[in-house]
Amino acid sequence: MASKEFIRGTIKTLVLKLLSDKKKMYGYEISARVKELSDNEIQLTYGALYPILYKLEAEGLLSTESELVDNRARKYYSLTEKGNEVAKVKVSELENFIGIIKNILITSKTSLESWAH
Amino acid sequence: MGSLSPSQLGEIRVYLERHGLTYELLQTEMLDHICCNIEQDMDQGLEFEVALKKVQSEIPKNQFKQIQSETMESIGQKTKLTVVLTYCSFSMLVLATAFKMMHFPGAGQLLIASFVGLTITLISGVLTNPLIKEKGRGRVALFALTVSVILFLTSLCFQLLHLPGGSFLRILSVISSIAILTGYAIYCYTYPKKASRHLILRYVGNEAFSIEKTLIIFFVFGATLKLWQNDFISVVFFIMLFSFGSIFYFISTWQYYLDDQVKRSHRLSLLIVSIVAFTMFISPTMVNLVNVPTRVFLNWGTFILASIAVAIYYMKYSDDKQKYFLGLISLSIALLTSLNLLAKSGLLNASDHDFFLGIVYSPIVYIGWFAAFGFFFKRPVFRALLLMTLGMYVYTYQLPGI
Repeated sequence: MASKEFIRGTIKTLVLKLLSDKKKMYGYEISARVKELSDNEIQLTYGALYPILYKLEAEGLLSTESELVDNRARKYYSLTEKGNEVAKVKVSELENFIGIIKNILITSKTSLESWAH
Repeated sequence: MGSLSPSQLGEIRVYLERHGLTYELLQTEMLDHICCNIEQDMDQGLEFEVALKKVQSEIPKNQFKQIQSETMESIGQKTKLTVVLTYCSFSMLVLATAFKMMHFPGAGQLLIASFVGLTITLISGVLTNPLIKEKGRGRVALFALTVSVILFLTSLCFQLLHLPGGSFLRILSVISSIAILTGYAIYCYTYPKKASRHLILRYVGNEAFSIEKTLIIFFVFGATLKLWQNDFISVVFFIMLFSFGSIFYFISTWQYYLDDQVKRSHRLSLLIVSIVAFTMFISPTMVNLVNVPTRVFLNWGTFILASIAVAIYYMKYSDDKQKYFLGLISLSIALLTSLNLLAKSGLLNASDHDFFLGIVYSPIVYIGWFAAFGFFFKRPVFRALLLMTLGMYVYTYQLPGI
């Protein structure tokens, strides 16, 4: 399983990205989707997911609606207009960041190999 | 996925509540999430009870409490204001004490500023709690109790500033707090299910250790100032310890009314003892209404009653390995306090009076109680009794009239 450190810093962006792909999702659905897309590598715990969802809602990036499903209420999250814009920015920031990290890792690996030769 | 029955949903809801998840919106959401997990396991052939246990075993201890507090923090920026106010008020309290000890001017003003800060903190804490918006959370009683505590703090400010009306405010706050808390205790005893959702019980349950730490700070400050220069400010700290401590411990007993495992007859005994003890203990603070002999009787009588009740609890009902030892120490508090009350009753001649007080206030007794407090710190009931007892014995050391 991927390190918790890396996951913690990217949950917000992952949630925004998933919601920008699908119109509305509920908590369990989000964590199941992350698990599925990461081949079981990333498992969002309740403790990691819900405080973030509530924070995004409080920041006005998510809107919610409730539906009664199987005798219980289910809360669906969807992106607001502002959330859509932020999602695009955050995803592009994360992609850039991953690119930079990749470069660093490749460069340091190459220099290490040339030193060995 | 197959759907769960209402009783199964109820079982999960109870589990969530018992583990500290009381914020209704979050609870509903977690209920749905856990149900989805369980239904997935049931689809793979597990029975409901097995699937529930499996899901529970995957949830770390205190996870729900943590989620709730993190969620509260993330949705309520206002709660940060309460935290800042708390730090400011306590810093002023520390500064006031330091100023007083160093004989710098302005200690009194700082103390009053810290009380004003505490009052604003209290109002902010109550009003900015997101749960306050939900129905059936005992809002009215919580507001009433807050007003009563604010009256008490104001009366302390008036007393420090020598303003007229301080004692009237004190009487008003003491009588209102007795009425509100007694009524509330009876309500919790009669309607435990409704009361289990009430904010005040949740708050006292979740924040118990933080509140006790504050009480210990009051004790340490009061005791240090008392031993250092026996100043009036030490009295203020002790008054804070006794008033907030008694309210906190009184409310803490209500959780036993919600526990099905506690027998109804035991709950009734607890209700009666706690109401009598709280009323006896808090009444003497109305100095203008209660004369000295009555004050002495009420004050020390409370400790005799409470320590006997704690001794009975440990010796008869507790599973603690040290139950008899804890019971015996509690009985020793009752015995020494009875000697204290006898000595102060005015029934003894001067030499007997001095002899008894010499025993009760001897260094060995203080050392013993301090040692017991440290040694049995992890026993909440015993810790409560000893903190209040130690507080009262340090406060009344060489103090005439009580």
